[in-house]
Amino acid sequence: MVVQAATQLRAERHAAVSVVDADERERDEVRRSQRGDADAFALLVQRHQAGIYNLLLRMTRNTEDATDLAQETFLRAWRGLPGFRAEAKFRTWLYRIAYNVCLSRRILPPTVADADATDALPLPERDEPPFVVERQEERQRVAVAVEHLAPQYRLVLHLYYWREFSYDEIAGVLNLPIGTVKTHLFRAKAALRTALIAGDDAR
Amino acid sequence: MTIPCTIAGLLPEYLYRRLPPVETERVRRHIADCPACAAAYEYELALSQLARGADAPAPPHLFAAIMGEVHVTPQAMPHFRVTVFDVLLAIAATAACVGVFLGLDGLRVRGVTVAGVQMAVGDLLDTDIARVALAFGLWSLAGLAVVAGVTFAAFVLRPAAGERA
Repeated sequence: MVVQAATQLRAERHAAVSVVDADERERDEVRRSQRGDADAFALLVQRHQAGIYNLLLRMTRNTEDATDLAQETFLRAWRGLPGFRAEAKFRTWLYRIAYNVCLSRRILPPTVADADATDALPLPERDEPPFVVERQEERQRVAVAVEHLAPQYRLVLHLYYWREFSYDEIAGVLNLPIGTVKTHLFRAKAALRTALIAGDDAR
Repeated sequence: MTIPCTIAGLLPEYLYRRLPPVETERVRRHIADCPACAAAYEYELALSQLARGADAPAPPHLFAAIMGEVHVTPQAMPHFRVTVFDVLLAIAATAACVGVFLGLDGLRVRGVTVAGVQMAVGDLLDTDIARVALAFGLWSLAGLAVVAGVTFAAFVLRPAAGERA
């Protein structure tokens, strides 16, 4: 028992040190990229391209558009890097650029950027049963349901569950207060639940 | 099924181990006793499992396309955001500099030499009023230096806003 606890503690410490190392490595790559080092920027692209591409794929539902927008996102990042002030994490900044690209291409409605617009979104029914995913087919069904949600819901769900962003990071990406982010996420999950229940009724 | 517990809002953060140890333990014990929150936690768990490993790989040509553009695209020069405070500061600094210049020029026009000033100051410093005046003058110069320094920092040293995060 004691040995198991010690092993777990060592594993957690090792994981924490690895995260710190990775953060420091990324900060160094960002600093070098800011000075025009394209090789350092290539490392950042390699690390984040799949995440950015998948976010944009979820928003556009089209591989060609997602590729095009991912390219635009990284190019904007490259051009804007000398002005990056490192007040936020690089990935938060990068996803904010991707979000801005979506806004500028009208993939997202402008109201998603408005903190006061939350009230205009439909309120969830509080008496819906939580959906429990038990089988592979059910997981697939959830994936399809997510794809059919409104873009702003897909966005927050993707950032939270797929990219594992904290509330704070999502607030940084969307430039919204954390409370509004929590509300968005709550409503997104409720919308997903409603879509799944509607799917159940239709079957 | 309603989720009446306030603890339900902590479930996503509990799932990703972002809560402090005390809160984590509180949520863990609550889930064990509350079927509604246990079910809600299962839902969170299911969403996270769905997300894990569900990413599509980036297209093979994406990286080459990005880097091809990067190599021919210059980085943007940092640009500055000028605020009302910056403008007022610049006006104040300019006015102070002009005032000092006009004062010195007036002395030069009237034929006042450095040696003459030194003698006059030496005589004057014998009085309390002169010492206070000198202290005030030095204080003004220090203030001027601060204004100039802040202006310099605001316009030259401040990092650019760029694509703000």
